[in-house]
Amino acid sequence: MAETTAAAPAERTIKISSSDNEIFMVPRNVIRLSTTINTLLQDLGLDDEEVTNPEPIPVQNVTAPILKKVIAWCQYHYQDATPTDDSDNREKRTDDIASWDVEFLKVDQGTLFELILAANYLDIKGLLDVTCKTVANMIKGKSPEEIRRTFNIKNDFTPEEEEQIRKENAWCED
Amino acid sequence: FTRLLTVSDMSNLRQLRAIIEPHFQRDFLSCLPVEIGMKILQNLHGCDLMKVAQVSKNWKLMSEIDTIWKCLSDEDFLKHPEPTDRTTGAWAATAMTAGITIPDHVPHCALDVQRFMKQNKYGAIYTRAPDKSKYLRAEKIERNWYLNSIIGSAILRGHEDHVITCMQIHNDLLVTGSDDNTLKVWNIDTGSMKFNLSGHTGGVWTSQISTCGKYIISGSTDRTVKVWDAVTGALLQTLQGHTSTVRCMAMYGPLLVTGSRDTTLRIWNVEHGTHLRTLMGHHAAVRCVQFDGRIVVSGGYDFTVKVWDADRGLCIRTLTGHNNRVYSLLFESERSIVCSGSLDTTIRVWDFTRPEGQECVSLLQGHTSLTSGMQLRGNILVSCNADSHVRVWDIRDGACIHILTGHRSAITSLQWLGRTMVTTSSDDGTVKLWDIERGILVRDLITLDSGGNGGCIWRLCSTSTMLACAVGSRNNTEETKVILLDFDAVFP
Repeated sequence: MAETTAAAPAERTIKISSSDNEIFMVPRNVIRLSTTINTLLQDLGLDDEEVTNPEPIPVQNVTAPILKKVIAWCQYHYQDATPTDDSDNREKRTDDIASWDVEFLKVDQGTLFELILAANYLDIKGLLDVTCKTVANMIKGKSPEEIRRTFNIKNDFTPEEEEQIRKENAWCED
Repeated sequence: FTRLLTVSDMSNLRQLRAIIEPHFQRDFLSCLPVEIGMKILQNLHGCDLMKVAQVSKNWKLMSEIDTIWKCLSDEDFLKHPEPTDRTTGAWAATAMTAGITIPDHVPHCALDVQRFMKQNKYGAIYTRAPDKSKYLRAEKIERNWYLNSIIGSAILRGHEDHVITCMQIHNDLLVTGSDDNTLKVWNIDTGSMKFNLSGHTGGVWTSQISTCGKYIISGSTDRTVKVWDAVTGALLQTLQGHTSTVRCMAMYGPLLVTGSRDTTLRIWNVEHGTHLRTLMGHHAAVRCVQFDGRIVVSGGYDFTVKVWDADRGLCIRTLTGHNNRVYSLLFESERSIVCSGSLDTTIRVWDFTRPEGQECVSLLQGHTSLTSGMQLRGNILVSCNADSHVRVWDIRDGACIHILTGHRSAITSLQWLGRTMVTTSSDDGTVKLWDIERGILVRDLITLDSGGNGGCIWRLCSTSTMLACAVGSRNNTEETKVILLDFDAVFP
């Protein structure tokens, strides 16, 4: 996918830089998925020019390794049909993650965490959806103790509180 | 670092891993902005959210945000009357007596525990997170129908050995009409009779409670329609005009339409006790009627379905196609859809806004007898039939999606409950609960020992938390009564 876009010389590219000052050249069509950058380009009138922006657009808060992943995700998905508004209302499904995304998101929790923040900051709806679903899948079907172990969370309930909350939430088991 | 790894043995590596691994782990819900945490949790179902609540204080707070629970389900799912006691009057005992089997009823010895648990109607979760509590209650009520033990039941005795011909519920009121010439008004939650409405000189065969709950209307073989005050039990009006049995009625606001064996329909204003119009055109008895305030739809023994303009009192369309008596009707005003069930064994789906002669949208064929009840949601129609089967149809193409078999005799009525549940009553003396999405029998709710021997369930009526079944026989094997089953739950 990356090769084909690179091979198209007429494709306009946008220069962006990560928080640690690494420069990335991204096809205009690919970065379209980021509403943040999209809006920025339009507001600055940079879309009118037929040339690459001379000054890179700084993407604060996102480091080079994460930005690289984000761009890779966009490159795979930029031709997807735009999701309709009612996709938020349909039934909750977390088993509908495409296999490419499942592979793509086989990363450590730190990376997944950074990806969510980056998707949020860059306002890439599809990436935010799929990363949140991935976290939800890590929670699904687990006992409270298993969840704590998965995410290294300290149980900060007193034994009394824990018993109380356990009783309350046993509702779905009877 | 690589050297360190190569020189370490297995136990050292494990130690290293234990030190390193937590550095990769993240407490997503506590470290991410709240709106993203919510976005994660919105992918979970109720049961997982209950587990989330037990992880830590932070996770508990996040998991109880109202919007997460609100978007778990639609409003209809959450809509239930306030929790009830249902422990007094007839509820103090149960319906489990000689001759009546309720397979999944809690045993007598466990009743006190059930009753104790009903006392606190609004639990700790309700005060902290009402939307979570509402959702959990709705889920519990659904499970109470589907699989939990039945937590309470009652028998309302009345009408001696006569037939209960009609039954309605409005909030806490249950009205039964009988061929013993009376109607009885019951308080559901206290399990007691409120009024005995007597005055008809012939059997009562049809009744209605007005939407406002103020009036009870009854139609009788004595050719009159009576209007009763639902609050005081007083007889307010006797509407005269029909020249034979009043067999069916439908209401909209204060407007009442009655159908009679005299082949006419009459439109009345119940509040003023006035006769407004007479609809003439059927050539035989009128058996069923529906009304949306503007359009009257009637089905008759002349094999036709007629569509009337109520204001002008004119027949605007006659739907022909059935080749036997029309017994049941369903009318959906928004889409101008009419479904009619006939003794010719078919159900016809009509759109009366289509050109004349082309109104029949689809023909549902498969039943082998008379359709006694129908309910429509979207394009899914559920029908119950005297051939002992329930069928689930798609009205767009007339395809039969499921045939539910299990009853051994005619099915007398059906009720669509919750999202996918249907209960049915039968002349075989059972009440059954089905899942129409999966097309399976969920369970038997009631079984009469006299079933197959004369004991019948004549009809069903329900609220979202209670089922009323009119029970009896025509051969004195089973005393006439109403059995109530409780499926309610408190707010946790």
